[in-house]
Amino acid sequence: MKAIIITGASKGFGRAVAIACAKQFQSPLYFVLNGRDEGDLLDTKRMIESNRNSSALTYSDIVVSDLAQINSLDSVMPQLFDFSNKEGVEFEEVYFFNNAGSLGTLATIGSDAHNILDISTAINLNVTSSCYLTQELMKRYVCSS
Amino acid sequence: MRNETYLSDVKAFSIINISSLAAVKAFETWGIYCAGKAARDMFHKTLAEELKVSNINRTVKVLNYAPGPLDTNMQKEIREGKLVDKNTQEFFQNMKKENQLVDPLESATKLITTLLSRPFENGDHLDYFDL
Repeated sequence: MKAIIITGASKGFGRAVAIACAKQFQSPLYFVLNGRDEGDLLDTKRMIESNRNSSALTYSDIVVSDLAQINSLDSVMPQLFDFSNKEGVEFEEVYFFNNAGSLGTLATIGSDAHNILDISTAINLNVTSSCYLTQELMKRYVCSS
Repeated sequence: MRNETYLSDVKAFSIINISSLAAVKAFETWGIYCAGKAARDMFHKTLAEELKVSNINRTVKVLNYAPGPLDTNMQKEIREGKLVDKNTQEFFQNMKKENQLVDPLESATKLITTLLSRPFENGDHLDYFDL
């Protein structure tokens, strides 16, 4: 089975990646779908089911979490990456789509529209959490062996 | 210990950072976004460098993929944002009008096809329009 972890999977490009995987991969797929909105994630899950390659069984876990909240990232990590705890399931390949991100405030440098909270929230989501997720995946599965 | 047991059969990992043209090109009013996207690319490029000299006995692929100007809510934010650079905004408003924005599924399909069948250098920044 292949594991496919997608952050920001509740809409936009993350959702499109989920559907493309369902269409193009042949073997059974285990999805871990992260996003902020549970209803949207469930829609993505349904779209995976309705678009899947006929030979590929799919399973989807939903992980509702805002990855900009870096203080709670450590508690989200097991839900994102410990998918392999399933009895009797063997994974031969893992795909991690590090996708979640936001535009933040768009305004010229020097504009009154910028403030420290918005800047740190955007950097936390786009950089801190993105780097940390890749770091933790490497730590758990690649560097530990 | 747990991970070694459970994932002993995993032969290959692919880590795909969803990047942007903004990682390699500055757009007026996009300072924070461009800075973040550039940082993310460089982090994953660093990982690719480290993998070259590591003795990890698994295949790890790393790719920075810029999906193109997608017809998503994020694009809408750019077109409608009050403080966004007017030239950029007009550029994307025209693209929207002319139906030139990229369909997210089309871009995602290209990405998966690349992962499955196109050789790339680990840590590369690949753009939708290059593929």
